Amino acid sequence: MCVSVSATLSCMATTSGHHQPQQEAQILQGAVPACNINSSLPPSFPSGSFGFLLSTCYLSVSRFHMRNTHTVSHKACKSVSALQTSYNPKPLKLNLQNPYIPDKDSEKTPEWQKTARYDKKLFGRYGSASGIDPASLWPTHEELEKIIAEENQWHPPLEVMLKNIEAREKEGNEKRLAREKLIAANMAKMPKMIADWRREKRETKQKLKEEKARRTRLLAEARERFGYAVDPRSPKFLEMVAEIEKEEKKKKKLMKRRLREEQATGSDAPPAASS
Amino acid sequence: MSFPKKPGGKALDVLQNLPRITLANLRPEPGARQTDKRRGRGQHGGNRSGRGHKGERQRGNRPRLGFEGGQTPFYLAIPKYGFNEGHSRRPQYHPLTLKRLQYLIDLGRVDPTQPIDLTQLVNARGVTIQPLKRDYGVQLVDEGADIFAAKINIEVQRATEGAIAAIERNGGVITTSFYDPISLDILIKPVPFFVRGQPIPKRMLPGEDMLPYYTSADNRGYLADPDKIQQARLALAQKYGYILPDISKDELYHMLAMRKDIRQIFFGLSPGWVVNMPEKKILKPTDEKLLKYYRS
Repeated sequence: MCVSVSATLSCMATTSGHHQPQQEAQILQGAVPACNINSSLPPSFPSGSFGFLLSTCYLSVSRFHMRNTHTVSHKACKSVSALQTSYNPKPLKLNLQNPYIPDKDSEKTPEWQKTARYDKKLFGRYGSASGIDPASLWPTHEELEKIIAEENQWHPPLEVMLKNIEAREKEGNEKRLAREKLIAANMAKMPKMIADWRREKRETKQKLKEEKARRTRLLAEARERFGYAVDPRSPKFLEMVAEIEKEEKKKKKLMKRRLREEQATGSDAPPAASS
Repeated sequence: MSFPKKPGGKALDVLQNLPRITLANLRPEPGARQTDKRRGRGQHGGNRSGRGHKGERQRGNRPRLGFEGGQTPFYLAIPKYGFNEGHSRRPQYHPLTLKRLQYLIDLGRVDPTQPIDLTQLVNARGVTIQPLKRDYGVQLVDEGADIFAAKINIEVQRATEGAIAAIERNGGVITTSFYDPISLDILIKPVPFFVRGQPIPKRMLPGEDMLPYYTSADNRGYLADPDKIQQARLALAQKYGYILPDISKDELYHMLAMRKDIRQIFFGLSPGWVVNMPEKKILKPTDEKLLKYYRS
């Protein structure tokens, strides 16, 4: 495994093909106090924001002048160019003159300073002065395989995730549509069901009413016949009821027969009349 | 008749002759300190020291808050509902208002001539991100949309529709992009990461729960199709009633067109590179396997 070291940041533009030097400078400008890579472009503000910017700028300039016992002048407009991104970075607190490189063979060196992880840190702090092989900064082939295996396990590629999402959405949609269909079908049945239920209720009520009326009628008849109020459970009463029912049946039969006869004659008569 | 030699002479003398003030001879003003009350001393020895008679009050072993003496307490009697379920694991996005962004730009704390991402915002002390507190970045909020007047290329993690409209109305570009917690930590503190001497990792993709947000062109997601984003820009301009400025003819076109790769954490730095701060060098791997891994 070998490593190509690109040139220092100041000439990064030539080495890092498609990337712009300013981009790189952008990240590091807050970090390296010594290297003067702060882009010195005059800020070209969008014309739309100029008025707004000018007002704040004017304020800051006036305060500055007052401190120096100068009068506020028309220079405020000019000082827009002075308004530049400046960032006071934290100093890199690294002892570069006298770096601490632990002795690997010494017994006194703590174990954690002999690890590969610490070696990487040393290289990060002191660069090549640390004596660490830069190739050791990257994972070895075995480690890389492990990393790749783990990534394959836990981080599915974009297409797979999109497919999963689509499948889940589709499933959810189907479920919802099926449910909506079922609800719609049931709702269509609803008016008929309500009507049926109402009719049934009305019919039972009617039946109950008729039963009650019949019972009172029978009781009244029994009282008329026997001359006193009869207990509805007594055999006398039950006998009477059976008798009455028999009579009614007979009557019904008779009625039926007569009706049939009448119908027969009626059905005979009309064709005779028509013919 | 005796006259004082000069006013304040004695005090000055005393001041001049006193030893230098040190921690050793400093003490509080008399009366500044109040001695603690010492209860139940002397003739009050056998008494209750102001704590009353017997029980939890005197012994200070009161039951827990909400305990109702054994009866099912109120806080357990009412059923709970999952409104706040998983609240301790939900991603947090710190709000960044357009007003504050304009303030940062006006003070020169954020440079609008460069693409603005989380590194710039954190460096400008515009936002504070704590990845360990489940922060996943910033959300751009449309407060101050009416005064926002900068043309910027900004990358945030979430953005409201109003904020997107305010930025695009000025001819700016906005992208919402996802950073996994490890990448986020690197992004907000680049230098401590570089000093660790590790290669810049790949930025991970969002999970399936966040993927729909970042693939949507309406949110200007970084995984969305650029053509659809252009359509969405036009649609938003129509909705909010402004004319979309043509970026391609802009003098800052190069800056505005800058976008990070899906796997890229920093502008201009690819995953797999090592940035060495003391030597100001960038080290790139040449091993084929490594390159293949970092490219995927």
